[in-house]
Amino acid sequence: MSEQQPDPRVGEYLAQLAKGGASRRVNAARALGNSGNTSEVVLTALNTAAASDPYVYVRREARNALIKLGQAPVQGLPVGDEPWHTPHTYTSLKEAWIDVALGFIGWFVANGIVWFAINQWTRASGQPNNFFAGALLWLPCQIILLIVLAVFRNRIALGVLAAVALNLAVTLLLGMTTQAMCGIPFFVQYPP
Amino acid sequence: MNPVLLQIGDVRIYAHGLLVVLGLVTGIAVLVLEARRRHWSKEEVIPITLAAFVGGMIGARVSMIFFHGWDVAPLVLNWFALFDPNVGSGSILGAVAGAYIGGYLASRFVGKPGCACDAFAPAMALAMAVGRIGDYLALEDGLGKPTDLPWGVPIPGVDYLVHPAPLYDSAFNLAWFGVLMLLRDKPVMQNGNLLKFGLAGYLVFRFLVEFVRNNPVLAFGLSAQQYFCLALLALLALYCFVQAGRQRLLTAA
Repeated sequence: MSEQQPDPRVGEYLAQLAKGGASRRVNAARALGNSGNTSEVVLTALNTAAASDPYVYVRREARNALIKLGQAPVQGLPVGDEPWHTPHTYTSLKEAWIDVALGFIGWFVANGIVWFAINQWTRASGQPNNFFAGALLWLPCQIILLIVLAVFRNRIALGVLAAVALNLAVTLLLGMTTQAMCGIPFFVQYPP
Repeated sequence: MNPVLLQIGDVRIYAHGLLVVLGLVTGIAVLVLEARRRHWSKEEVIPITLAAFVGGMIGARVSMIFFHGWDVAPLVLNWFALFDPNVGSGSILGAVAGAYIGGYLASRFVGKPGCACDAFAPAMALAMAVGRIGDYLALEDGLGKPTDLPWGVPIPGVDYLVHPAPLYDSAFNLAWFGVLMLLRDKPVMQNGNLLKFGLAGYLVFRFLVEFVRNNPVLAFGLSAQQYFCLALLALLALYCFVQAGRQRLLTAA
């Protein structure tokens, strides 16, 4: 282990790793891993965090930091610390942005096709309730798909969320110029 | 009180819609400042904020089924109606619950440790303080029940004064924003505790102010909104109880 002149911020990270809240401890472990500092005090702190921090995300980040510093963690992975899934690792910003765009555009395309199909089905059957039934089928599918994407390809999920959020934001902006009240349909005159 | 705040040519700008948007913008501004102060990375803040916004909007609409009955289901479960500006935003209680769920799920998916939500607590309080002014200007639900109190306000169509319930809400949220800002750095108010405390405070207030609002009574003199508040408070209490038990086990080990 090399003895390097500690960066003044390393002291701050070590203090955060020892006594900060969970978010700060994770950020501190990540920052120590990125610092390239392999002094004994840093490695000891990271090994201690990897072995005995009460939060699994801190333990994982400390382990990742040690691996990044070229050091094998002293102790094996505690039971239950292995993530149950392996999310996709984005190797470049371009790849991440492509996935975001895929999710964003894909949401519009998918919903356009599905709602067109539901509309056609409703018209063909002559049953207005079929539209409602279609919504009840499609909405849970969207939510499940979003969760699956968030777990395995989170940038696509981010694109989908951004598409929905943009639609909702436009709704709110348009609501400034309509007679929008909480839950009152457009065909109800308000005030009466 | 003026439902139409201003008119630009032929375009009317309604108070309710404008103040809802202003409230959201205010909340997001506070959230961004707080996230920067807490050194959160944008890779975490952006998805969590987006998810909270989407969850909040969906929660606001879907909760209308709980408050107004299954008759409104064809409207609120219609995906198009979610984006129909004529329908309006929905229930703030549902929005808070939906935002919490959306933000929580997103924080788990991005691997954010602990709870990413403490920054939302003061943001939500200030956003509601602003947004509720729009409800007052738009005479939402007839404002409140009749009153003889000196701060009762007149409304068109009746000859008595009523409680300005949205202003009570706004004043409480403004004060609550101040309280949460004072408490935000306390060690005990980290890892989600500030949001839970903020939420619990609003739920208690909302339960009380419902007694002067015009929402219909569901059972035993309480409205659906009050039962919703009680249910959320019970969930928060249960969560705190379970967490306290886990902490005792960790300490004992």
